[in-house]
Amino acid sequence: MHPLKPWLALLKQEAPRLWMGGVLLLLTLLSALGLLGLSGWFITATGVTALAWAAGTAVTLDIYTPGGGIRFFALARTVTRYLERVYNHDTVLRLLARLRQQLFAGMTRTDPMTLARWRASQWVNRLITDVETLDNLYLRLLAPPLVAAAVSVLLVAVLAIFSPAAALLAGLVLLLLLVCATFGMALAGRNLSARLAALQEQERSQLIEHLQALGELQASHSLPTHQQQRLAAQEQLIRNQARLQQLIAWGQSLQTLLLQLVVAGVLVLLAAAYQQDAISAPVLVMLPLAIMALQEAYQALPMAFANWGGTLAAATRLNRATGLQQQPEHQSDAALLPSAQSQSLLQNWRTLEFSRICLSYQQQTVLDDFSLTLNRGESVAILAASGTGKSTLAALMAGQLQPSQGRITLQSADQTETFNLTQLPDSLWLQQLGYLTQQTDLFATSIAENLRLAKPDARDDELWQVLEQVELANEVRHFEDQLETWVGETGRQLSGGQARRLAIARILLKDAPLVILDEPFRGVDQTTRETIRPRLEQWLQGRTALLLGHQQDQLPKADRNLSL
Amino acid sequence: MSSDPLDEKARKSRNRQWLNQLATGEKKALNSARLFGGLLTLTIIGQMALIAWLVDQLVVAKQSLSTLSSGFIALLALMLLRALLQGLQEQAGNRAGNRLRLNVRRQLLAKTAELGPVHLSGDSPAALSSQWLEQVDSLQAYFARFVPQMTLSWLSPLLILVLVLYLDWLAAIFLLISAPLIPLFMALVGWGAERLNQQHFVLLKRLSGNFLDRIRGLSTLQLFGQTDNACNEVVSATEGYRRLNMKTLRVAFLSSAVLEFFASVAIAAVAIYIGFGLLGYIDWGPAEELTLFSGLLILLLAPEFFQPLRTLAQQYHDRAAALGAADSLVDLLQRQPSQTQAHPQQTQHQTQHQTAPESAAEVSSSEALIELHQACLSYPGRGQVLGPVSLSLPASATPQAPGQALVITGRTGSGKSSLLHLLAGFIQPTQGQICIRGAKPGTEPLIWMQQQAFIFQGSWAENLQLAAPDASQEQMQQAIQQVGLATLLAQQPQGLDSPLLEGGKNLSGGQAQRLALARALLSPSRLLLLDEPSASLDQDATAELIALLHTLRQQGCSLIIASHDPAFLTLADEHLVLPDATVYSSDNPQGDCHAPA
Repeated sequence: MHPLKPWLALLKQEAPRLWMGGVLLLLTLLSALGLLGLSGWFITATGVTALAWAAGTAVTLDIYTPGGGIRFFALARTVTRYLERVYNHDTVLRLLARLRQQLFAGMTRTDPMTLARWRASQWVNRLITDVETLDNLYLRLLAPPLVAAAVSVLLVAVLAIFSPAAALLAGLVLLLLLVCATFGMALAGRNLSARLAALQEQERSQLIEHLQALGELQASHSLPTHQQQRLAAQEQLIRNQARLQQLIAWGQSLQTLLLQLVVAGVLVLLAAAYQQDAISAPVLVMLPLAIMALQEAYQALPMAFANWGGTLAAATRLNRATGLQQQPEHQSDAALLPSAQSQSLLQNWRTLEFSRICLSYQQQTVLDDFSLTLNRGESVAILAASGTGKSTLAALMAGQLQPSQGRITLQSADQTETFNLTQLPDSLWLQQLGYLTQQTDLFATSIAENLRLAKPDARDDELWQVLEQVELANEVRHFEDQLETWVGETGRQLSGGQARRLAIARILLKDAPLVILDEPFRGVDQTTRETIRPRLEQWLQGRTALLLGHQQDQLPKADRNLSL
Repeated sequence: MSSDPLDEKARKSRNRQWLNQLATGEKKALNSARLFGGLLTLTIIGQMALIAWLVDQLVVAKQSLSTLSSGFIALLALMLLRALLQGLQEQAGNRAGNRLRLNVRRQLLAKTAELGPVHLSGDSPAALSSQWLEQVDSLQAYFARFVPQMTLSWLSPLLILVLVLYLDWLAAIFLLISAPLIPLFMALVGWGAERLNQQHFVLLKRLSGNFLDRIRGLSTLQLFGQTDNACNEVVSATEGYRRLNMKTLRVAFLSSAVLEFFASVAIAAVAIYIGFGLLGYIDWGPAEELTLFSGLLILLLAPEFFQPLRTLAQQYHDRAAALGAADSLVDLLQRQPSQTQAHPQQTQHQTQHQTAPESAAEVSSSEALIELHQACLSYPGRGQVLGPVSLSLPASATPQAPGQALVITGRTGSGKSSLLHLLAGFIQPTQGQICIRGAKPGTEPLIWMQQQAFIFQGSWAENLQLAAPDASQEQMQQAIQQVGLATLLAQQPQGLDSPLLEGGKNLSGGQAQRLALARALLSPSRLLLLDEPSASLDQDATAELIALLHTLRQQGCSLIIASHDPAFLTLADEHLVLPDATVYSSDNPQGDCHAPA
């Protein structure tokens, strides 16, 4: 499948707007052609008439019709140009907004392992730069060559009325020009612009890493070496850009040259026709002038098509990203329980069972034949060293991962029925679950907004209450903006322990019947931990909880302790 | 940024000044672009004159085609020259733009180093890298095209005007009257476009940061069932972007419409005037002397008279984009560390890097390893986060003797990390003094380990060579062995060249920490700053880490550890307990300043 196919399909959704935009473009060009051609015709006609009058010949010339025509074209050119610009750019931006939305929606359905495999920085590059590159598609790549071709055909047709030879010449050279400016430039620039797109993407992620490592690099005085590397990469990038610029510059020169050759050739052929009295002097001037005005139709083509490779590369990457949408579709509608049954199961289940779970990732076995039965209302602590698959267990329970073997089931209250976790809609299951992940994810927004992820309609006093629970309320009260304090990139304006406690507060706010706490006190100092722990233990009463950690004293007290 | 009401005018002139300064640096290339552009105009004038002459010869003088062949050949030559000059102008402009961009990126790089990790912690790396890439790139079109075109936008019309004036002064007056109005209208319209464009850049930057953030935390969003909300936020951000963009464009296009209008009207007026003049309907002024040649030439030149201005208008958004980019780039480049100075100069680094071992040995006998005197730190908006702290840690008697270990404890938020930032030299104390081996912190290279070990996407080897680019395979293997990751490495299919994921996602927290420690072992530095090293380690791993740190200390490394884990106290020569952060609240500035234990 051609990488551009899905994007052309997306364009189709706005087809009426696109046609309208194309028509406006055509009208703009025709007005420009008309203005210059008619003016040339008029001046020559008056000049010839004046000569005839001087020679004593009585000829008449209607000066009002062409005069009106000239004024009409002058106005039409202004109006159509403005309308065309505004209208077409609006269309393009509408398409872009639609495109971004689709992509982000697609990515939100991706599973955590796949997400980890893509670098976050590259995703952003993909979303913003690639999507913007694709605005080439209509306004730079699709409409202009079509409109240029249409105007050229019209012009050649008019030429053919007066001089078939000139029409043939103009037709052939204009065809050559169109092919050179589109296919020729695309072919010549394809590899170069594709490589540039890749280089730029690579440079972005390396730069992000450079900035993230600034502390380590600066402390160890290895910053100058790494800066040199970034600069060298930059020089390479610019060198490649310069080669593309060169291609574009000379492509544009060639385009000018070919068009001027058409003007000169047509002038010669028309002159011959004129001398055989096949055409009049005003026509001899009108047609070459109209061709000169064609410059406007062709001038943007070489640059747009030199970047063809970049457009293709962007489309390919976006296709890959949207292709990911289909991968995590482990939920087929047929296998899902009806919603009423799901609801009643979620309210009445008795046990949650992991039976004989095996899971491997990238050829490493993470879990091997693991079984566990979790009774409703019971809390179980799983104690194990790092890297033994605790977090994997949590991701399995949250339905973010599927086991390679074995299954996770819910048993109904009367113990007669057993349902696979995969039979429940993800959204319903996640509503029941408060999962504190091992890694603290805070968003670059206010403390209040970060908390409200768990409960969008929470009142301020509810927020203060959970902050109180995790001993954060006092500290937040001392921040100038209190709840509205902005938490920087990955929450770096807060200390590690503060960020962790904010994440705990978020789970408390969600108030879900099922809880997973993965190393809840990670980075929290002992004194604070001892203050928070009894509160958490009390909160956990009556909830079904899976607690994960290294040692018992780093977790709230559980009903049962297990080791992996 | 643009919301800063301070003085919009001063900011604008500051931004323009910065752009002009950059342009001055590339005067030569920019001047050759201007020169080629001027020559191009002369060539076009020649070409048009030749066409008008040929038509005149054919129609008025009734010359045969063959007698005019030399004229046609000259026309071809001029067309070739025109194409050549057009390419040369473009290339000269590109050269200037390319060199300028590299220069700006060099400045940005130096600035990020000067500001350091603490002052940049509020900026998203994605947003900064978009400044570095997209914003700097937006300077290219401005310098390569717009700046030379600015000169050409008056030079080329002037050249044409001189010729038209010679041909028919009344036609020249038509052109002259419409031309000065254009810049006037454009200035009015462009002023609005520029402001909107600045907003556009701020929004674009936030949009990029917003995406990275949302995508990083995608798992969390999924777990809270907030993906739909996040998606809506992304959509509304994008919609806002479109609306703002349309506002900019509607205004930006207005400026080109104004130009288009004047150009069209002037061409029409000239055509009608010449036509009537040729017919003899105008019996005053120079109209009577018009010929087909002069009339046609004036008509042919009329569009060329406006072309440079139209080109300038088409490139006007390049200027607006460059000014918008300049606004936030200059903001970054002129940002000062909020305390005295973040870090000594880079050049100083390099020289001292080489001499550090000897000088360290020299001073170590006489100077304390660490000396803090009444050091305090406060952040705007957060109040005082640390201090006053006083402390002295003696240096080892000889470089071969075991190193010293300082363990800093305290509740979360008590300023442990901030104290480490001060000792690393990332920030300067608001009050008081800090010395490491008698010098300012940061003078001597040291090893910095964060709460979450920094692992980037790349191979094991690349990660290990972060602080020691010259480390050999054997050295790396040995370091891996020492931190107890040898078994894990043996499992990797490509050994040291095996890939690691961003954030060490295919390592456990403890493994990532140990890998970062292996990196430390490879570095020549003898001072390690560790921030909560056991945050993600289990008891056994912590014990192993402590044993490892113990060995390092025996080998002469000094350690400064901030941790809430009492296990590290077994290492401590000196123990500093930081009091609770809340006692430093701004309403109680004196506080209960505990003396170090």
